[in-house]
Amino acid sequence: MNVRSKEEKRFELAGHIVMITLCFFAIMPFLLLIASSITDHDVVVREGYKFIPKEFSLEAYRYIFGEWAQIGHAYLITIIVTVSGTFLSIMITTMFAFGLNYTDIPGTKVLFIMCLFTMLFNGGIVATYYTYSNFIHIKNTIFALIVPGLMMGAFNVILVKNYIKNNIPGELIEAAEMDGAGPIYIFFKLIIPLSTPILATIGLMGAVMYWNDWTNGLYYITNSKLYSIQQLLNQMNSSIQYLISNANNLGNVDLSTLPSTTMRMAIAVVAILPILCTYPFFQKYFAKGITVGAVKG
Amino acid sequence: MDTAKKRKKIRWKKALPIYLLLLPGTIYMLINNYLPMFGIIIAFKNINFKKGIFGSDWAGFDNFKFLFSSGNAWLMTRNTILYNLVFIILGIVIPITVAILMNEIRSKIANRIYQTLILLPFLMSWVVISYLGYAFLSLETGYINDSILKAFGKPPIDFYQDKTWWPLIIIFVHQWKGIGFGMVIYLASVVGISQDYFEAAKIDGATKWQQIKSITLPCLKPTIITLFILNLGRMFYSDFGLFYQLPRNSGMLYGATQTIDTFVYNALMVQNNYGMSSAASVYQSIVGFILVVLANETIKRISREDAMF
Amino acid sequence: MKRKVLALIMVAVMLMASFAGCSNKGGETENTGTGSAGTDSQAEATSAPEKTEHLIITYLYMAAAPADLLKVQDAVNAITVPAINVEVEFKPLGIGDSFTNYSLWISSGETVDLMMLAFQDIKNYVNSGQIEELDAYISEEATPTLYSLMQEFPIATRVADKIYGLSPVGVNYGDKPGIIIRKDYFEETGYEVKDIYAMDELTTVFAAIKEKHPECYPLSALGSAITAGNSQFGMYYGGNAPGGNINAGYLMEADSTTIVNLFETEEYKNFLNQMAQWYQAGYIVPDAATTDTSNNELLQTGKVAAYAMSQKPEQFASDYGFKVTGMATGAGRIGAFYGATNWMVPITSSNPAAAIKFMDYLYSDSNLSNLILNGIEGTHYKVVDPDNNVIAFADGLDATNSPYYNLLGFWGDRRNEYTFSASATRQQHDAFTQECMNNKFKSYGFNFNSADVSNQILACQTVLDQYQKALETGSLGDKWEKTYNDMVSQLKNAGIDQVIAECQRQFDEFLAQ
Repeated sequence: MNVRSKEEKRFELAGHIVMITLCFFAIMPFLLLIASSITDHDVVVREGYKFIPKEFSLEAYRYIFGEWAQIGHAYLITIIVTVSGTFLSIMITTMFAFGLNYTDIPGTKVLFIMCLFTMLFNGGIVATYYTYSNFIHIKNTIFALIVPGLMMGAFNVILVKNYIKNNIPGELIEAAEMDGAGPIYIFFKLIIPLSTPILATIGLMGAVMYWNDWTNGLYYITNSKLYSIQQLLNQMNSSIQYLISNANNLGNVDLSTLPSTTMRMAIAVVAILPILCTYPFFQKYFAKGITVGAVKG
Repeated sequence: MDTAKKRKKIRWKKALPIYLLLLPGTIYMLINNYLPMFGIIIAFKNINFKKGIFGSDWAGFDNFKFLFSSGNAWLMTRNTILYNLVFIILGIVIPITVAILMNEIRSKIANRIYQTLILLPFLMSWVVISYLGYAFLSLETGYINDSILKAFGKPPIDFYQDKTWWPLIIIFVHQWKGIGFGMVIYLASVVGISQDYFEAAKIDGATKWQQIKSITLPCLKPTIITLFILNLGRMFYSDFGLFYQLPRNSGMLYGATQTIDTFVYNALMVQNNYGMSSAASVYQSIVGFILVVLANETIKRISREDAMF
Repeated sequence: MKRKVLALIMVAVMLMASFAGCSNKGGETENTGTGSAGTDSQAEATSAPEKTEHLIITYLYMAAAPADLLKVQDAVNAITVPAINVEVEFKPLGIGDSFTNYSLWISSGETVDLMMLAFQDIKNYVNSGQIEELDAYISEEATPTLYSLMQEFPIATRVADKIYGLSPVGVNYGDKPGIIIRKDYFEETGYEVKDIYAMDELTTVFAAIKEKHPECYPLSALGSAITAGNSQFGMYYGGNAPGGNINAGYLMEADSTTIVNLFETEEYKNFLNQMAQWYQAGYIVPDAATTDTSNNELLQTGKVAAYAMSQKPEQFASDYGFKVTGMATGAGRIGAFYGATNWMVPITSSNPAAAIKFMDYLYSDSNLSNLILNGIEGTHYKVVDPDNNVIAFADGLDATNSPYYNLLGFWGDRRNEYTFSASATRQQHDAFTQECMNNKFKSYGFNFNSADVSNQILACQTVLDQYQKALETGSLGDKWEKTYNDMVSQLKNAGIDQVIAECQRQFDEFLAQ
């Protein structure tokens, strides 16, 4: 039973080779990013980006830690938003997707089509902004970073709905219903534990989307205490871009104090690291071989 | 009479909790997506904020004209469609292969390391990736020109002015960024396939190949079809970061990198016209809608239970 | 079943839309409501100014809002409330964000009284009805400072003959073509110092620099500074675009009255050829068209020695550790002027008259504008040279840690304001302005109303977006001609001739007056 065939071994070897190649391509640019953030600024401008810094300089990071008040605060905001947003997102999406599978209940088919429809048609930023500012009044609050656009996407709903339909045996649910369990009990005690791979999937996607989102901050937040770290980075970049392309019209604005190339690299590294560290947390849910044994009997 | 009443009661008892579960999602959908739907009419109006959105004059299809009157109209549409077709095909073949292979690797530590690293590009923002692209492709100091080509004695390639390499570059970078994501989605399904099936197959003497062909792939079929239909709906959309930030919006590359989205963005950087941006969005939506409906109908005729609606 | 589903969707969408429609109309009536209230309070103001007007004014910053912004705001109110009965509230936002946020605020009815429009085209806001006409609020009695300044300097931005924006008064006006070059490298070459240089003299200097410093690229010709409205041609050869945007044509000489298509002139072709030759000789940075490093960074690190820039006096005051000097390639001039920065009043303003009154006061009182620009004297800065208006950071502070460092000087009359560097003196600025005013193009005072040809302009921009950067940075080397021909013919297809004809028509009318 535990003897592995030659073929299995070959498969695993092929797997390792492919993975190592992919990992190499994946990590190389990241190493370049780190390398350029610790290179001396003048060297980067003169000679470009190299894997091994010609001259070390932690100046860029010194600048960041000098601004720690602002950057640290942005971190905090991003973490709060990401954690709560991801949790809420998983809950709402899964509840909705589970309910959709009860096609005999009136209204579920309509709701599903309405959900699909949202993937295809969009009211546009003007109308969305108007809705969230004037109807819902969440402008300049932390909810503006959590709610608009991110809490439930049709894509995730479809993924979860299909997973539940295809991977959770109907007999299991029937057995529970015959034992007198209601849908809510089934949901919490049966569906959630058995759907961990897909929950981890949409959780990871949700976390990444929340972490990387800067558009919500751009539109709804003017209070600098509520800036997320991506918004900070993006604002810096777009300001710099604006000013450089209009330098002719600026007269004697002193551009030498703008965050330079290496600083922007350092900020990018700082912005990525935490999300990198959360992946292992989700990773354990992708463990192989979930045996569903309860059906027998 | 009594049994009919009883049946209705039972129905309600079951239906109410389900409506409860559906409630948060429904409210969210209505607020986030349906309330702002009125914004679609902006595409058909000559918007004047003094009169407000509803008071502005109707413009018919005027706002759509700029999409077709540019000399590049056909070029950008062609680029968008061709790239998306390639992405859809690659997006099915490659992530599934990787997911299946990943599932075969026994060492847990190796698993974790591989998955984390492969996912790394997915987590990066496009601004950062464009810097890195520059680090590799820049004429003077880029890694490729400076270290690789020089070592072979070949002349440097001006990547940002010469569009011949860009279809390859774009496809490569798109896969590089997306493999982790695709792998994760398919991996979740692969991992969810009950081990009993595989053990039964092994007992019957099936080879690894046969197991994959007859168990893994069919179990993935619903996911593949769903993703296929959804991607069809995005046929006229493109990843803005990939087509605008990576090529640094270099004009000489437009032949290979301009898509509908980048064209609209450039046009609106100048005129900031909400009517036109809304028109572009409606244009993309309608095409996507038609494609999704067509695809779904086709799939319905082939295997009914895999269709989406 | 399907029809039922479709019907339900329709009903849901219609319900949502009508719900939104009702509230939107409510918002609209609110808007007109405050509008009329505004005129009421104006009538009140003349009779008995009791209520203090509260103005919300945008405050643009570069990287982050200054930490002491509220302190400065209080100091501002300490001046404005007693003087003109106006209370100011700053609304900070990043300069890069102003592009998206202004329209969103206006479209959702949010009250803002004064918006600083930096580097955007004010016509977009005019054409979509987002901002107020200002003519009614500017007059000799109500706003004396503004009125008199307007006679002297082009500070009022007009579209179709109505004033929509107010620019700060510049320290100087006009442009003089040429390059800014490192003084030490220039002096090394031993080339004679002249008033005006010819283009091939520049070539000689570049060659000499390249010989002495082979790893340095003498000229930085950044693609990032080239936009469809901003051709590098003017940086070297002068001329003026009467429509602001090059698409609307070009006047080659000061006394020209015929607007030509710049892209089809011999001079433009020679310019492209010159850039291509410089590029091939290694005088221009290789990735000029796509790099996003700034001129300052490139100059500071020694990668370049010069860049094209109008020879304004303040350019020579920058200190990179070495000084810079200029090589002018033409005479100073001034033509049609389209302010790069404009204060405008959105339609959601609660009191446009008070907003303009504040503007008037800002232009007249240099205490106020210095306060907003540089912070509180003593706390943030100290005066070093009172005669030349030079200040330095207060003790212990510098550009990186000062709680109030506002780089964007868009407020008031710049001539009276303090500056940090020993920038040019007032005399130097005035002399420069005088030189340029003595060489006025016939388009001075003209403004082009592009509403009728906006589609063609957009199409031309698209063409220029594609080709202009590569061509004008010389990046295509000796293969530039084919691309140039493509650009010219595509511009024709895009309708550049119609735009120029329309501009000429309006220009002729203007000249006839």
